[in-house]
Amino acid sequence: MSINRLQAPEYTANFSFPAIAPEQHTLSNQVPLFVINAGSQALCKIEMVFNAGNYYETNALIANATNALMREGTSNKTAGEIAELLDYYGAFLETAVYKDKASVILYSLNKHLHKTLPVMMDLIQHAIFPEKELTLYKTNQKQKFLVNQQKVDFVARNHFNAMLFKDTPYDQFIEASNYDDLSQAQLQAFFKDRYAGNGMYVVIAGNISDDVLSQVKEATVALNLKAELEVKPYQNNFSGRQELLIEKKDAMQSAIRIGRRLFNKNHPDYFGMQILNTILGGYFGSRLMSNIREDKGYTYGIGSGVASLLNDGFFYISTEVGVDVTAATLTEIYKEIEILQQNKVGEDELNLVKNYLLGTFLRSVDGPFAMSEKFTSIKDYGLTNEFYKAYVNYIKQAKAEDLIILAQKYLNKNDLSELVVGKL
Amino acid sequence: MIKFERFTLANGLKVIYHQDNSTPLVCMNILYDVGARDEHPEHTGFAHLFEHLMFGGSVNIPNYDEPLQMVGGENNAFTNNDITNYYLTLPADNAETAFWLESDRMLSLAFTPKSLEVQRQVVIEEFKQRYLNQPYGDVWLLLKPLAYKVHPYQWNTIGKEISHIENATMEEVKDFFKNFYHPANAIMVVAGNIELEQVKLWSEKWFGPIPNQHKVPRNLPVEPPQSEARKLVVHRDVPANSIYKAWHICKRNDKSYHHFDLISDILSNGKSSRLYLNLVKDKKLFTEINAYVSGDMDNGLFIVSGKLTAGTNVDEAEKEIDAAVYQFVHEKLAENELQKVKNKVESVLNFSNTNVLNKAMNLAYYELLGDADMLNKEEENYASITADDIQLTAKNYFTDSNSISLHYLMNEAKA
Repeated sequence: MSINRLQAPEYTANFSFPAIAPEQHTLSNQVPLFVINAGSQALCKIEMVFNAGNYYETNALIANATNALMREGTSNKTAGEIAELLDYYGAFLETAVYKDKASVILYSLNKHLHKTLPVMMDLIQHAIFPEKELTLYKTNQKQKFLVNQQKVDFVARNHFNAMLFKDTPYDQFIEASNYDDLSQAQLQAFFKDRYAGNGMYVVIAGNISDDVLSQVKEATVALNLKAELEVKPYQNNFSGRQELLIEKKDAMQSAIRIGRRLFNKNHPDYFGMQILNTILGGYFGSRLMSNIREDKGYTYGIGSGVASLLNDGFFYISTEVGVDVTAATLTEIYKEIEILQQNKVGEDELNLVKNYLLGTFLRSVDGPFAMSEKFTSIKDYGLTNEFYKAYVNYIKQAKAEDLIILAQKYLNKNDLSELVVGKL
Repeated sequence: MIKFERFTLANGLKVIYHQDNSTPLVCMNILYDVGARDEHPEHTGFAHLFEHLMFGGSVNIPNYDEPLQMVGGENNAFTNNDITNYYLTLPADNAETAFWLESDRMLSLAFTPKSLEVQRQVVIEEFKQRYLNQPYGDVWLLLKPLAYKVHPYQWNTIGKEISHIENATMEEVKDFFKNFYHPANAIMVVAGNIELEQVKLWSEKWFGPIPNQHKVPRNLPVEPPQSEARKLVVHRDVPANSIYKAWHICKRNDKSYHHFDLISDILSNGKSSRLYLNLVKDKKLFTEINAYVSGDMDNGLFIVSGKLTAGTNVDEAEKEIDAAVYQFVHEKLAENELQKVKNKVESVLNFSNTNVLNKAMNLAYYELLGDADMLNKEEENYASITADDIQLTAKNYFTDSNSISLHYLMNEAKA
């Protein structure tokens, strides 16, 4: 069989996407319960989402410490008993804090759920935050923080967030002393305010048998939730460009961050910025990767992203480069942005990015756990599967003319803040 | 149970097929039987550098990534001591693109000087980013040559030193390709929403014409048994003292490997594990501590590493690690604790089988170990282990003379 290796095989960009539309149950206590039933392995993921992110904390780290220490003792069980039960039944309990939300997630084999679920329910209702567990947490986390302080990338992330969100609830600049300042009373108060409120919801995903569903319903309906506290309205006081250099004398590489506050998923330009960002730095073939890694070899990696927050959002470029090429990298980054503002993206490149994004979206909805993540990431914004349908449609029809306008509107150097940790 | 089919092309390429129609995707995983252990001692880091060059264009396709992105696909690769593994996922409708792309780079690379120059720089930056510009980043650069005096595991995948990367020549690149990148040295897994007949057809069409070559026999120097304990103390600009303690163990394929895996789970997997409860929570000697096996194809290492709390005496802390490890020699494990870690293994195996790419990678790796079906026997392998098995293995390997110790201390501690 003679084949032509110069000729790529036929392909399509017409993929069919599953709807992100979990079955919704509302229980008598008004807790929304969402079910994604798919997958052949007899196991499940149970996620409980709370309005308990960093946004709500009065001092740095309270949200993180509360979330992490919920598993370290309840009025019914010691930390040791909780750990032993979860480990014995091969379950994984993850706790996670984001800017807006916080989660407690249980991964369990279905056959052990009757043992593992009660542990999860106990800690979200009856955590007591023992003093000795808090002390241990402070010591160990502070040491981790000090180790991280030696990493240019970590220092950059910490400072960059503060640069963009100064004086807003999203400003979470962390210092070593924040660990010392944590108190049991703060954690107990945060837990009471933020983990017992009626803004919470539950998502279960996996091979959800009737038995699993009824166990989760029974457990969830027992929650006694109260009205959530009012939160003061967010002030979007975007300010222009700032520059900051944090010198590290022994650094071999500098960490670079460039970016600005932007908007979230509810904004009409959100989809367009997704495409523009992908072209600039959002995938392996991006302009920044092609220029700064694949042409010049300045870095192991460079990327950009658009992140959504409930009350705001941001755009960022991040990389670590050799100290001798830090200045040259900055020049190239701004050059690439200017090119996007001055020249229309070519048809071939735009098509490639469109197909890549459609393929990426298809991968991101593969399997029940992936679908549950896709669901929580729109649910919080009051969006439904219509959002994803609109996203796919937008990608398919997006035009180079639209993108150049977005680049001119949102990527002006005067609006972009710049941080270098290392040497310039 | 992961069902699969297996066939071999005339040129020696092994193909494994696994159907999963619950996903809209197809994964292709190609494992090349070459790793850092196959490098020349004066030219280390080559297998990994070569992995980068595999993305620099092949003989008929100037750019690997673009056509894959054009059909909605994504790829990556990794290199370790033993293998170089390339994987991609793409929408099932476009699966043939994977066959086209991967067969062309198995046939031959473009070998452009520009690609070598740039990837050399990229890898040097990777060396800095991951090993030199990080606190504790050089631990493995110190520990491996301490543990291995003869065997090539003495160097890291990234290479012994930056100069080895700087000095790589195009001749070496071509030789490396010729020796290791050919059908008989590869295992290909195709998994996902695709039919067997289609996989056979496209495998034959795209990979069939690649000329066959004989596998280069592997004659690696065998690491002689260690006769006395080894110890290294270094000082660095870090905020906390740390200890890395290791023991030489068996090959990945040896029965005892599973015993070490369970021992490491008992010691540090989860918040109910022994080291965490005893040394972090109770005695507060460590802020974090972990036990793990290296899982290498040749004789590997069992490692315990931890960071000390301020003021803890390093030698005292090491004695505590020793006591915890040697306890497996002196005391038989209680049934309940053994059952706990077996349950955990069962759970981990089940969760890892929820992802089609994981399944594809695992099938390829187990096939290299001897038989892809061993993946399906893992649960049973662990379930049948007894407390006596574990104690016997511990007796055979956990001795002072077989141990390696690295004290990685903060500069202030220099006295």
